[in-house]
Formats: sequence, structure tokens, C-alpha cells
Amino acid sequence: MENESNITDYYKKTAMFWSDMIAMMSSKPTTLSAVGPLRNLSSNLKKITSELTEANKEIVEFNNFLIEYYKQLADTWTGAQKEVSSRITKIPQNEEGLEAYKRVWIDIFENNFTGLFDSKKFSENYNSLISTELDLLKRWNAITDVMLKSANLPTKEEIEEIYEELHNLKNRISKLESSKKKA
Amino acid sequence: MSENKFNPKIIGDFLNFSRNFTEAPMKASVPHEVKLGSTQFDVAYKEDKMRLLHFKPLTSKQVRTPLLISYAVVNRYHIFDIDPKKSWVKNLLEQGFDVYLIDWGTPSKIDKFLGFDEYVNRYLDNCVDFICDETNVDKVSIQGYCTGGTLATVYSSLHPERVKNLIATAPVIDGWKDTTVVSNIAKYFDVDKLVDTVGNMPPEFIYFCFSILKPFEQGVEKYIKFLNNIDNEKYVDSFLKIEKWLDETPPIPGELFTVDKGYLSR
Repeated sequence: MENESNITDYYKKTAMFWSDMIAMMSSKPTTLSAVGPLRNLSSNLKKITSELTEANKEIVEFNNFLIEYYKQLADTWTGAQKEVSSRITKIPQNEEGLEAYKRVWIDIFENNFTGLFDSKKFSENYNSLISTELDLLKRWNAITDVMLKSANLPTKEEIEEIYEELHNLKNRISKLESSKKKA
Repeated sequence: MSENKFNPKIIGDFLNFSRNFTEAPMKASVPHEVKLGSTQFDVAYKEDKMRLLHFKPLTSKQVRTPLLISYAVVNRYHIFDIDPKKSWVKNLLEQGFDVYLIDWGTPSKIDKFLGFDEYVNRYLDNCVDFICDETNVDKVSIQGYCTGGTLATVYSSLHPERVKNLIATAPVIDGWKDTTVVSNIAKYFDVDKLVDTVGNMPPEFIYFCFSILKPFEQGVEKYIKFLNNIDNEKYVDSFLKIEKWLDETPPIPGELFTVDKGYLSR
């Protein structure tokens, strides 16, 4: 595990080192050749590299949680199917039996999966999975923000500032209208 | 050597099921083209995405106090008026109630800052003001359903002078006492992180939470029943309407989803 972390750190540092070096080395000629938004993008490449490097670690974590998620589902499915098979011999092989088999199948699967969804191991893994997915989404947002900045467009953060401003304005107007009505 | 016996009824059922499966697209409407809601209404008041619907009366004599239905923020209001024969709204109108209903609409990213304060003290309060002005009364009756019941309960406790009767239908009041599998998922769930990253509570996640309650009954059996009843026009119509209603789960504004605990403890 420690070895894995060292390797990640090594690649991360190497990537950061060279992206910084390349950015510095190319800054002089690009100042002359790339002007406007593209110049902005080249100077922001470091941020994209950094986000991608960090995302690698999270992708590995996400995969592990995802594998565990499907494993839990598959194990529960297998367990439920075994239970159904053990009961099937007691069900008569006729018309009513088919209906009874369907009922037994659904009841056993429902019980087994409810047991899984109600367990600590499922909840912990599922929420770690969602949490890592959100981390990846944050990285994707950060990268998109760099692109938006380079294209001279408002970033997510800037748009959210406007949303919040609008929200506060609406509340102020509403309070003013309300106090005017009462007066 | 043993002789294999096949029950002709079982084979017949299987063949019927296969036929129904193949013919279903010809016999049923495309789910997204199904129309929800049956009773006529006017949009009496509108604020942001919220609409106050006023249903057309069905009796000449009416109950003096208007009834305001505060629908849930989860799912849309159509379930109260999904079919003329099963319409809660129509039933109330036939009893002489003057029925108003709040359709909270479908929040988008811009609505992520909407919280309890806005829902209770702005939208709900403005709707009550509007109804009182229009019908010349001082108080209304409020029926709150599900999370709409939570909002109506909070509103009634903060503005008792505006509420004549409160009918709380399946309100979420002490959600922390919930013992279903959903509460198990919620136990380790980082709501703040989700809201901070995504903005609003995504409908797909809400749908996931509902799905794990009865995954096989809701996810398998009901579709088998649907195919088995494909020739039953009423069953198919009702099934598709409810499926469409379930599918139209809107997102929940981030701020509202994180729930202002101060409000609930008051």
C-alpha cells in the first residue's frame, strides 16, 4: 500500500515538475506566439495536469468501491438463488406450483436484498462509492473551469455567485413587498 | 426411462406472455406521450417555478373555507388527479370544496439556494395571502402531503392565525426515527458534499432510494403483471400513468434537502 502511494507520489511529482518546467520554458515564446485565450490556456495547463494526476488515485479508489458494490449484489443474488433452489423441491410441479415458485422467488430475493441494503457494509461501501464519484466530479468541474476561463467564459463558481446574488435579491424584494403590504 | 410431462397450461401461459411482450408496443401508448391530470384548473398565481393551481368547481354550493393542498417536493402533484375515477382532487370538488394546489415545479441549478424559509415563509405564505385576498377569508384549510405535509406543519406552527385546519397526510416530521433501508443509506451519506458538488439532490438518487425498498416487487413483478394485463385497457392506462408520474421525479433544491434543523425543532 505504502509502495503504491510512493509510486503515485513519484508520478505526481514528475508530472508537476515537467509541466512547470515546460510552462516556464515555453512561456517566453508563447508570450509572443500565443496571445489571447490560448495564452491563458497554456498558463493554466498546470492546473489541468494537477487535477488529472489527483483524479488517477480517485479513479482507482472508485473502481475498488464499484467492484465491491457489484460483488455484494452478486453474492446476495447467488445466496438468494441457492435458497430458492433448496425450496423448489417442495413446490408441486403443476399450475399452482408455478405461481407458488414465483412468489417464493420474489419473497426470498426481496428478503435477501433488503438484508443487504440494511447492512452496515453495504451502506459504508455505497456511500464511499458516491463520495469518490463526487470527488471525481469536482476534479472534472475544476478542469472545465480552466477551459471556461481560457475561453473567457464565466466559471461554475462565478455562475453560482450570480445565483446566490439573485436569490438574495429575490428574498429582499419579497421582504420589501411583504412589509409594504402590512403597512 | 422416465417420461417428461409438460403442463399445457404452463406452456400456454408462456406463449401468451411471449405474445404480449411482442404485441405490447402496438397495444399500449408510448409512456412519455401519456397525459397526466384530468381535472380542469387555472393557474391562479405564479412565483418563480411555483404555480398555484385553482381547480374549477363542480358544485354550485361550496364550502366557505378554501382548501390549499401543499403537495410534496418529491414527485409531481399529478398523483392527486391522475385518473378521473381515482382523482383525490375531483372527489374534493364533488364534495363542494374550493380546491387550490401548489405545484412546486421542477427546480433547476438556479434554485439550489431555496430552503425551508423560502418554501414556508415566501411561497406558501404568498399562496395563502393570495387565496385569502381572492376568496375574502382570513384563514384557509391546508392539506399537506408527504414533504408538503412537513412544509404545511411548519407553516401552521409559524402562522397559526392563517390556518383554520391542518390535515397532515404522511408528513415527514421525525425522519430520524425511520428504520427502513433508506435510513441505513442515509446514515453514512454526506449530504453536504453532494449538494456542494451537484447543487440539487438529483432525481436519479431519489429514485434509487425508492427502488431499494422493494427491488423485485417494484422492479420485476409489476412489469410481468403489466405484460400479463396488456389486453386490459384500464389496467394499462393506469399503469403507464403511474410509471410516467414516478419517472417525473424532480430534483430537490440543495438547501431544502439539507433541511434546516432549526425549523424542525421549533
